[in-house]
Amino acid sequence: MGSRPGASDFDVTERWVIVDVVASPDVDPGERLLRLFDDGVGEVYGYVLSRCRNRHVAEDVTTETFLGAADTIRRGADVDVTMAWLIGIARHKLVDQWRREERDRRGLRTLTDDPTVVATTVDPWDEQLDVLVARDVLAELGAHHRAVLTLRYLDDLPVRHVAEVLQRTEHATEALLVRARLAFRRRYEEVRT
Amino acid sequence: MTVDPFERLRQPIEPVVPDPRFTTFLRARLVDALAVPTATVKFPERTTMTTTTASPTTPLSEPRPAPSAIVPYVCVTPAVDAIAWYTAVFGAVEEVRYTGDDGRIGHAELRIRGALLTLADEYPEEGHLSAHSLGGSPVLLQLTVDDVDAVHILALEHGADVSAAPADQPYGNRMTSFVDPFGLRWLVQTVIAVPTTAEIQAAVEGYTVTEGGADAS
Repeated sequence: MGSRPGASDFDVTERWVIVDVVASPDVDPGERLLRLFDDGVGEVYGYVLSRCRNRHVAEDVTTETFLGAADTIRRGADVDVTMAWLIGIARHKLVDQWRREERDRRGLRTLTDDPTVVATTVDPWDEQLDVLVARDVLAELGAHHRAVLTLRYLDDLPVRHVAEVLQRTEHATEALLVRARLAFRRRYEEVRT
Repeated sequence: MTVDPFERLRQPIEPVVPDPRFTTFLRARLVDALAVPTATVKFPERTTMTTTTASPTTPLSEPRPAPSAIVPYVCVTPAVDAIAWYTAVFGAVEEVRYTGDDGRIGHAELRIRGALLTLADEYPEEGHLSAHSLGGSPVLLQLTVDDVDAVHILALEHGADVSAAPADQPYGNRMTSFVDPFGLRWLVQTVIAVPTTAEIQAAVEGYTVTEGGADAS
């Protein structure tokens, strides 16, 4: 019957879920995650989509984020199930995604940690960045540069946190950041001229 | 003081609603992955926006009886009144109701003496129209009850358009028929005897009664 809601989209045998979780301070972490999903899947998805600019990739990374969170909870880890925690997971997954993309296209181009980009020049750079161009440029950079610039500037994380996400030392992260800024600037100026 | 040009890249999080199919699918995976206690998460066979389980005797967590191969699916408007009517007159038990965000009932299932009757409000946009809109119903719904006279009285009291008072029929039923306020035609009967085909043939004039198909001889 055409009037049955969802009949055209879903097989009737598909399991479908109703959650009626009463707000309570001691709900278990799994339920809290489900509630965060219901209220905030758009927040995680919006975060990822704005940084990767591809719906399919954003769906993949959002999926990995929530399933990763569920896995952590199932393993009994003592975590604070909050949106901030989820965004933190999303950051890791996004960086993983960029690394995978990098591996896939390696051979076609080599942009990662370009050794010719040596940190001899030092900022200042007093360009008024055109944000739209800047985002395009960012998407063209190699995974490491894209990741470090995204975390540091789009997400506005302190270097210490960027280092944690990238699993590098702070010192190595600072160095990467300098190279990434130079690579960005070089490409940005190419595009602008 | 120089401002770092990279600071212009800052991008606060703005929620974006994903494709609902994606959300639905991921949520189901998430529930599986979490194996959340079933006390708080129910897995009905199907549902939608708002689903209520009206019958305390058949909770959704228990498997429901398989429906007959053919189940009538009627269009009645307003469906909410029709459910009340079938409950009052036939003793129907509501099992499932899907209430749409627009207030219409998109799907409901009633159990009447073990049989399933499914119904919905009018959805003209899907060609789902009531007997009133269509100018009548070509379908008779045949319902067997314990006491056809009692149902007949209830139907009358609830505004049915009764065309025939209960009467004994040669094929073994005491029968009445009426059109309910939603335009559906009902044939309500109580079995009073189980005559043989020969007995029926002897009792009806103007018809040839056969068994096992018209070609049977």
